[in-house]
Amino acid sequence: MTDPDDALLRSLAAADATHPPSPGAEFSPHGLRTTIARQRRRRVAAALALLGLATFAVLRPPNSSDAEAAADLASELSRQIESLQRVTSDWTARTHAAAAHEAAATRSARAAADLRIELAYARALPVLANPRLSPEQPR
Amino acid sequence: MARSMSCPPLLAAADDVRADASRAPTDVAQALCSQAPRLRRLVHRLLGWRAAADELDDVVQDVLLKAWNGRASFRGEASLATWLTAIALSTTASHARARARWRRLFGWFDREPAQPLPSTDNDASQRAAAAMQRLRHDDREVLVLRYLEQRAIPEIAELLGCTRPAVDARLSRARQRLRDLLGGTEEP
Repeated sequence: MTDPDDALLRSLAAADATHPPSPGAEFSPHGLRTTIARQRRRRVAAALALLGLATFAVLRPPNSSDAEAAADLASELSRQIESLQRVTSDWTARTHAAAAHEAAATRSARAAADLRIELAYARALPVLANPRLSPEQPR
Repeated sequence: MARSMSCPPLLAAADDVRADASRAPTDVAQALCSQAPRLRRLVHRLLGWRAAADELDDVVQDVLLKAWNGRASFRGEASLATWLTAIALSTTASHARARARWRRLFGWFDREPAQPLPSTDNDASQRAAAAMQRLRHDDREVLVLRYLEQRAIPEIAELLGCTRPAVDARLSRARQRLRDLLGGTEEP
């Protein structure tokens, strides 16, 4: 088979010849077995560690300090909730008082207006009842 | 190109390695280890001639361990060298993917500016090496197998687990990309 680009192949061959692999480790059957044994030990150790962690996570007894901390947190939360409820009820009471005061003021103003109307009507009533006193009456 | 880098003849012991329990494990390990220098050169080529000695040792050791652990699956239909080469190809591809992933994640940390290819004629081999290093691993793999390992197309197809036309297409594409990187001529 003839290759289409001899120059390309020659440059590849030259590059391959000028980049030999550096001398590395010697692989012997003993070294291979040692590596395999080490790898197996590492896997067994990792599996045991995982198993131990899982067992510890599942079977861990409840910690008393954790329970105390949870109780403290719950009491603190309940205190804060009570405080919030107090603040809310104060605000509601103040709002209701202000509304009642405003309603009373409105009622007072309306009553005063009614009273003024009644007074004006009472003053005007004699004039309306006596035509001679009526200024619009033609003579 | 002279076949100076061709595979060494398989050892008689290596050819006889089968997954029979009767064979002594030491013989199997010896047969596997006798292939280490050839595997080391193949991995060195597949990684673009730029892997450090430790990295090469790690990959070759990984190949040997996979072969040892999977020796029961070696049925003797192919030679031991071909079987080990297939393991080396997959292991090196995994290693190259992991290296590329690592470089994508942390490459910004020590990113080097891209160096231009050498321009002088007497640096042709350096230019070719730099261009090969810039190729994708898939392209480099098929070029190494065909032109440096001098494998036949059917053998490459068997090693890569694809058809002969697919190997031809990959080879043509890889050659073109290499030419593009080298600023070479059009394919005749």
